[in-house]
Amino acid sequence: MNELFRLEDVTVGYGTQVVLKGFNLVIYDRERVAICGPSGTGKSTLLRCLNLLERIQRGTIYFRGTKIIEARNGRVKVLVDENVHRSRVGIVFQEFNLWPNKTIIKNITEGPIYLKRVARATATARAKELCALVNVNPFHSSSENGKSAAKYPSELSGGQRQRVALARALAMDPEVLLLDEITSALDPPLAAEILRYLRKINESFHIPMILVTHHVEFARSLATRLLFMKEGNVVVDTPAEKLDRYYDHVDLKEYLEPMGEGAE
Amino acid sequence: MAYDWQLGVLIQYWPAFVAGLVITLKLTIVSIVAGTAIGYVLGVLLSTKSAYLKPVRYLIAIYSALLGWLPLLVLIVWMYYFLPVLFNIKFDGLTVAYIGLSLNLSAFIADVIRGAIQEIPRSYIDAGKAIGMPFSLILRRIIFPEIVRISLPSMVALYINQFKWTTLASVLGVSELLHTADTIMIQTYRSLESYTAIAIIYLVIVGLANLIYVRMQRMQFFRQRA
Repeated sequence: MNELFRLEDVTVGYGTQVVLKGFNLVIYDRERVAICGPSGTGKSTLLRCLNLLERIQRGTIYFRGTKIIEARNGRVKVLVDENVHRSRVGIVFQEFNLWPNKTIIKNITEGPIYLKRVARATATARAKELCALVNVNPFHSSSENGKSAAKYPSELSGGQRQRVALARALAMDPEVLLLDEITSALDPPLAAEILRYLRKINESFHIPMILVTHHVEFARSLATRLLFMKEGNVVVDTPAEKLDRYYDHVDLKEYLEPMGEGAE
Repeated sequence: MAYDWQLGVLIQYWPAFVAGLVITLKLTIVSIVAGTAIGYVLGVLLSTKSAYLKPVRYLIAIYSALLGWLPLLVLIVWMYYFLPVLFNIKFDGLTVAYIGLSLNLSAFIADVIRGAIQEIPRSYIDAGKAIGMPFSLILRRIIFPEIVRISLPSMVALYINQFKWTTLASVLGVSELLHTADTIMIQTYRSLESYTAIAIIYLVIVGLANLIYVRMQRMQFFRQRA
């Protein structure tokens, strides 16, 4: 299998606090990796580094065999156009952070139109397809003709907004999807729903995913590989179907509570 | 006490009132455009974090204080005598009024813009970065519309006030509405008629502006908040 990301000796910190120290990890193409663990163990930081939203202090990160960032002796060098890199590596955050002053459709088409120079009509058509995929109606249902009033993010529920955020990331045709605690701000039934759509997205796009989550069960039903992190280190790394072996692992125990309707 | 209204004065002098109104509107519009442009740049500069721009931020703070704290009437009268000394050329009242009104407004706009930028959640910018938007695009497509949306109520209040502040130009002999009324009063001794006429003009225009403002606030764009 081809390598997607390779992290070598990566160190990241804020001020005096070190979040990741000498961290090594290889993620392969076609994998769906779930990274679990308690808060503050560097899971989100890791994702943000992969997207170059966060800078590393030491080490090297490769994307598909190409060095994207390297830090040595306090000098950080970004070796690719970070905007191009970010458009290839989609990320969805815990907070839905849609742009409130743009309609749902415009939230999705903004990137394709202004970054990929896709024609507005094409981008809009695609946005409608993606909305259908995640089952969000971007228009008020009362009107079927062309003049139907567009909905704004504030008119959607939390779960719907998160699905639109997914659609927005997918609209850029990313090569990998990073999902940063995307269900943490949602109630379990809504989280389970997101999971369903992620499966659907996986079936339609076969896109590799790296997701960070508190819910091991959530992770397990989607991921092919599970990582469990603690204090900046990977303590468990297992294929998803072999998670059972670790049920007695001291660090995992408290995270294996089933997430209600989410567990299937 | 009965007052003998002589509305004929108004009919006789209506072209003068119109001319006065035109100057008032010119003062308002020019100072709003100039004040907003200057204030916008200052506000963006005030929101920067760079250490290099720290002296610039201090200068802007002093500028804002000077222009914002002085009573506007004092400011323009002072400028009227100070500007010719500073630049060694003669300034007419109208020019001084343009400059004074614009600069005074810019100080307040700068503050409004700075506040608006602070209010923009970091996450909107992250969302733009996350899909690979360069900063210039984020500024144009995300930050700017947000600034407009957040700052609009304060801006409109400033703009409506600006219209009222133009009356101060009358002390420099600028024939805007108030000064026109003064002149007509002196020529005809019909003070109540001429001042009532301009009072009504001010009321109607501010009333209309308020009406438009209320309508605007109902627009979808200005109401959204996720």
